[in-house]
Amino acid sequence: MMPETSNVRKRPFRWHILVFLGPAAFVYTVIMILPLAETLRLSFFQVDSVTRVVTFVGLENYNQLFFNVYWVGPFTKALWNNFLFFVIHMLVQNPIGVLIAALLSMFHLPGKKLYRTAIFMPTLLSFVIVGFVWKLMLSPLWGVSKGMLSSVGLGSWFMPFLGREESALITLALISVWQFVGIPMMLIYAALLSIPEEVIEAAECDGVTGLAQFFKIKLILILPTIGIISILTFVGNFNAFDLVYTTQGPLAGPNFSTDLLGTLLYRTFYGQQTQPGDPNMGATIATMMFFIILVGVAIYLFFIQRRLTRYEM
Amino acid sequence: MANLKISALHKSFGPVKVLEGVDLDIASGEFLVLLGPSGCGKSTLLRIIAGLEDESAGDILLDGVSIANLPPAKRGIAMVFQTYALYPHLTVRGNMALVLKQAGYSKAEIAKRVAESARALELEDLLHRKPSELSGGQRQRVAIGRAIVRDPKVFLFDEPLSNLDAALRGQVRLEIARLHLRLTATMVYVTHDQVEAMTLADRIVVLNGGEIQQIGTPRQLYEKPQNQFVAGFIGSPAMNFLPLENIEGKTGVWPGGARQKLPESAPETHGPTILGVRPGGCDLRPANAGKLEKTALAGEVMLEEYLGDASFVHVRLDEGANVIVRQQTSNRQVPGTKVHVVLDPAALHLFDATSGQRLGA
Amino acid sequence: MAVSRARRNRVAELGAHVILLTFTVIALFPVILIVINSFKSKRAIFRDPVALPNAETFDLVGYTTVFTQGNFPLYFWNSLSVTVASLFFVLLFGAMAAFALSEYKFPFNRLTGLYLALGIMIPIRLGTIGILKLMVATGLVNTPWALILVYTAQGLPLSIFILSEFMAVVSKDLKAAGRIDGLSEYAIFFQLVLPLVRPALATVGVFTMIPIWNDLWFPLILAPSEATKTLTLGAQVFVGQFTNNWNAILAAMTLAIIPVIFLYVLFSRQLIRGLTAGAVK
Ligand SMILES: Nc1ncnc2c1ncn2[C@@H]1O[C@H](COP(=O)(O)OP(=O)(O)O)[C@@H](O)[C@H]1O
Ligand SMILES: [Mg+2]
Repeated sequence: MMPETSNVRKRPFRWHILVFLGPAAFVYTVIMILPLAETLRLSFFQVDSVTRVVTFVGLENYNQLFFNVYWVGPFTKALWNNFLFFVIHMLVQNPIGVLIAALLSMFHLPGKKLYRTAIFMPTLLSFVIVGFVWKLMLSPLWGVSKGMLSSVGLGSWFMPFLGREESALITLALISVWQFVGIPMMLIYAALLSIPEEVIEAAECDGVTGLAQFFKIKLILILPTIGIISILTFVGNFNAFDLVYTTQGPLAGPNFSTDLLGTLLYRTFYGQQTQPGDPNMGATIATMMFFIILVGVAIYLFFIQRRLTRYEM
Repeated sequence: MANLKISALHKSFGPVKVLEGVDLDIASGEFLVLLGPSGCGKSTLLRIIAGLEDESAGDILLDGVSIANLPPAKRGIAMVFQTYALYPHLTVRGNMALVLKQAGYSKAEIAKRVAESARALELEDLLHRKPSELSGGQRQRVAIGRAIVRDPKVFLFDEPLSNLDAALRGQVRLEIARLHLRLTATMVYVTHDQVEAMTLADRIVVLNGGEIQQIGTPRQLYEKPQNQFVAGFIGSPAMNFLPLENIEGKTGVWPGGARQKLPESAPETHGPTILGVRPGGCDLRPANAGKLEKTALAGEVMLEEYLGDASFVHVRLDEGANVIVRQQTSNRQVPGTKVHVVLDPAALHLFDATSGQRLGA
Repeated sequence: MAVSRARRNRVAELGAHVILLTFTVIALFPVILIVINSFKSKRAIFRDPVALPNAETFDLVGYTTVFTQGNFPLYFWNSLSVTVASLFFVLLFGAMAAFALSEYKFPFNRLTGLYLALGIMIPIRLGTIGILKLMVATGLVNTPWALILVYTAQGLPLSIFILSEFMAVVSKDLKAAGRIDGLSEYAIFFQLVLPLVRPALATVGVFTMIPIWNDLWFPLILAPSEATKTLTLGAQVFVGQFTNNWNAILAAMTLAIIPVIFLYVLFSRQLIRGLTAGAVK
């Protein structure tokens, strides 16, 4: 037991903690958390288009989204497209990122910095630029891509990639990979650099070299980084909107074949052509996106991250 | 010059109790060393004195006045850290001047005091440098300089030599000893290194598990350790401990029944006892020396550590215990040799086997 | 990496060069294509897209159009001021909150940290409807402040998360020395801690800046007026209006690319240093 003490400590209130924490907590709560809560709330209401009367409808908006043919078709299509978009990133962007980072870290190459800087560069460009650059390049009007394919004898492969339903989504995903491959590259490169020299030297002494060294030692040690990159990719992809909007417009053509949840949300909220906007259905879609991302993150945290041992380095 | 009194100090971090009722009376001008193994709460005690950590209960009095509610800067203390903790963005001069500026001294006064301290620590040529341009020893001298410019009532040192290499450690240690002689200020010095403690301290406080084990001069601690922990912690190599069945008529009884002569101060009778003896209090006899002495402990040489002026011989006794014996280097001991260990009765320490407290005077 | 000379494998190195060079060309080609064609006459753009401009094909008509028709200097200024102001608040408020969380023990410290980190995973766009209502109610629609506030809120969670990891490893002794020397908690933060986490600030800065500079969504919704259009939105609208004026489009894009590359080159060294210091592991 503590002994009785004459000196009861009266610490003055530590105002500085409030001062330090206050601005961030305030801006974050008012601009981010409350609006997100508002989104959730709106998804339980509906506004009569004529009388403007607001009524609480419970889960009716979700019922509409899942079971009304008018909504369920576009929603599942956007969801499926979004899923494909994510899979393509995982299969193309992250392996390429690993490859480049590995090459950069494995050899003592002159010009290493130049490569790194150049490959990261597209990440800095706005979607407007990226969208239009590729739209121009792939346009049959300009003929740059046709000319390039011809020069390697594949001229017959050319088609208006962005203009055809079967190829538009894949093309967009690859453009997005082109833009963002610099991020996994940088993060993995940094992770590879942080592996202690001694570990690599020990491996060399044990005769584990070259590719075996990469797969058996380095890759295992950077798995947590790859995990984080995957979840960042997931969140980014299920939040994507801009690239589709800038290249294909809000209608995500041709024939909605490149529609993602983000573009669906935008059209629902703002309306399309003759259709007026519907903030409540928009909120419903936004809430669904919120749940999808939450579920994805939870799966990652509870099932995947646990198995990724983080090694002290 | 000031005396520092710490009474009934307790500290817990959540459920973990780090200090459990520490009482200390530090005389004005005293050099007090807090000695103890890593994690025993030394730094916590020092940080509470400095006001960097809040005590859970207890009080701290400086010259009879409680300072427990004052912020660190108002306590009249200075602190030197193991990691130097120099301000990386300021020059040596800036590092030393900051505290004076904060306290509102005039420019002239600041310049004078910085110059004085720099002269005392031979830092004059380094005043314009940044900490990153200094060696470890120089950094620690600057940290000490930063502490003395303010002319504090109490100096606190938290393992100031631990980040230095062996040669520099000796050098800065001397620097601190000289400083204490010159300033005659009250100093509280934390270390886990007994050599530092023995060489610097007026008095040593041995801490373990958040409790004070013993307070005394280096000589008192070495010659009369109050319990088995202090006995084992002070001295290198550590004291040997061997169990006695009991004590009968001022004579020890070994588990096998053999007898051991004990010092004059030993109690008449006692139950299970731990016998402690430093390596210097033991000697070796060849096992085949003919007549087997009654007090001898039979064993076999495991290895010899040669140190130049002496060597330490590790002996494994037949009963299973290990004993380290200090020998003159002329007597080489070959591993495997059968030997007998004999103990000098005057050099023995006795502790109660259950409480670990010292028996006899 | 210290790979010994003897073990260097020339063939593998050459292979690595070839692969990296390929990716570099793929990364740069579209950008270079835009820039070189922006200086060519319309006919030359179509006749030979990959040729460099020469005396015969050199033409600045695109730039003349951009400067006479578009409001690009204004858009540029809007983007710059919004980005710089947001960055300032994200770094300042983020660092302050990170310091509070990593330095002080107070009730609900961990819970507050978790609450603030929530936003890393949730895109702020999903709250657009509420944000728009809020901005309408406060009269901030079509002002730069609408964007600055949103971008600050959007950038804070990651900034707090990364910066508190960095602040946790700032020497405890240094802060203690400051307190003993009489520095206030504010002075300890601004004079001692903030300068020591500069590389982390740079990393957070770049990662915060890119999405702000390039954002299309919030300028479109919160500040679409001519006076507050950002460069990204302006370029988007311009490209929509001048669909067939290739010279103008290419010139507009070149103008939008240059500042970003300039900023990147400025920051890239700090970025790598911040990353390798363990920012995002
Ligand atoms: N801020 C803290 N929070 C929780 N436990 C702490 C804290 N500081 C120290 N401790 C614990 O208190 C004990 C004593 O620490 P310390 O005083 O630093 O030991 P020493 O300096 O003697 O090595 C250790 O077990 C340590 O883990
Ligand atoms: Mg300590």
